[in-house]
Amino acid sequence: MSLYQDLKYAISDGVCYAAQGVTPEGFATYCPRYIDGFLVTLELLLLSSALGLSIGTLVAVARVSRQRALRVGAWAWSYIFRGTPLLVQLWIVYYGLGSLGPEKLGILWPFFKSGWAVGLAVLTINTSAYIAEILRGGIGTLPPGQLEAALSCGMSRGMAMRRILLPQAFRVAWPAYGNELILLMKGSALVSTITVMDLMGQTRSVFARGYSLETYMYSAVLYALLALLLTAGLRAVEKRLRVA
Amino acid sequence: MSADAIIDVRDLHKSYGNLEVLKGISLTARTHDVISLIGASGSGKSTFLRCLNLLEIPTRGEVFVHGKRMPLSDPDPSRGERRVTSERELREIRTHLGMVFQQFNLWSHMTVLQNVIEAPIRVRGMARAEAIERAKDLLDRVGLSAKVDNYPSQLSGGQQQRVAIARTLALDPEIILFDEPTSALDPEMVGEVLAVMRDLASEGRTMMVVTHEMGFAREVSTEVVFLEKGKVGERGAPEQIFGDPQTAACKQFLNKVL
Repeated sequence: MSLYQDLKYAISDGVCYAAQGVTPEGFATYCPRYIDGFLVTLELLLLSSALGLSIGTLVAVARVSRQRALRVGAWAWSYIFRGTPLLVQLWIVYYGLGSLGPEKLGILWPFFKSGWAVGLAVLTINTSAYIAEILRGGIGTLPPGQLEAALSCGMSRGMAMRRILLPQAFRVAWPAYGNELILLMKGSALVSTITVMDLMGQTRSVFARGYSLETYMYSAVLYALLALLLTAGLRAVEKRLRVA
Repeated sequence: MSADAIIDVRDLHKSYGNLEVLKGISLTARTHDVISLIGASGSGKSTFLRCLNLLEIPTRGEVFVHGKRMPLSDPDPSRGERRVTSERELREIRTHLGMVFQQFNLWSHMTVLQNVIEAPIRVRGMARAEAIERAKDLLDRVGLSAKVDNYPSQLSGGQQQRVAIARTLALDPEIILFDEPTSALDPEMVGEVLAVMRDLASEGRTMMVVTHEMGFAREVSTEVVFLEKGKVGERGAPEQIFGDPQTAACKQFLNKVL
């Protein structure tokens, strides 16, 4: 873990050294804070999108299951986590459940007391609900013949899902997923309200020092830069997924 | 039922709600049989074929494969649709009943070769190298060895259907069910698919073909079954059905399509 910390410091040192002189003074002064925050946002985003994709896939499969209980459970998952504001979800877990304190939460306390861990968990669950709906839509667009061909070859429904339906649903759903990833990135700024020093959290603390109007501009530029990065990544994956 | 019956269908019924599509059809396919199912649209041909491998669940009646009953619960009107009693058994049986669809249904995210090796590897557990070797042979037979690395979307309809036939052959099924295999094709591509099917018939493959290609039915079939309104209207050798149909409905149908 400390190796990872060192890496983050090295990145922020490197970037800020390079930024000296070529960026406005208001930015250069607080550069390490911005970059630290940027890296926290990036790491939350990568982790929650990867975990959310796995969970969302499972929920999507449950959503089209033949078992009624699974379908209803998956529907409720999507409904609840898409239907309530991310901010409310974060506060319920961090300030609400977290207020039960170490005595009542026992071994769960280390999780609930960490804004970062709660932020990651809530972002993951929130995005998984959206991903599930996007994927379900993707599965729904596939011609029924794709499944029938798989079944008639002796595949089980599970295998047909893994090998035939999901790979195609991912291709169909990828552009919509890209949209969700960008929204997740912007939504992640809300974790700053539960003490996480992500890009938004660092920006707020920099602002508190000087009340300089530029502060939030720098942060907006960095978020936009992140969006650019994500878009490029999404495009690269889309290219790889493309069927000639 | 004779010992060499591959599929034996007894009194098959299928209803959708109050609409009875199949009203009691019995039919036996023996090794080397090529049975053509003909009839007007809506006569239940495709539904019948799809009931054989349980893509549709028959409301009443039984299907036996090699004398073994398809794993379906007994009909019970109070409980709605019949249940598959053993998914494993059904999967095993399905690998012996190949199916070729009107819309080809090639898996669009896989290349031609991947389409053909998928089931042998995943379902039969065949070694990859062996599956590829066999797939290449099969694709060569249907005249598509040059297209192994193409995706279905890059092929013409006729080529796609030939790949679909190769995919089915890859499991070496005992009978192949063809569900209007040329109906979605442009006229100039019908011939290439029928040629492959003729080949299969001449090498003794057992086939059941729902078709509107009367020429094919006449020349290749060992038996022609004319379905009318969910029942067998008439059945017999092709010479008889096409040369001297007995029922008015069959005569009328043939007059219309020939």
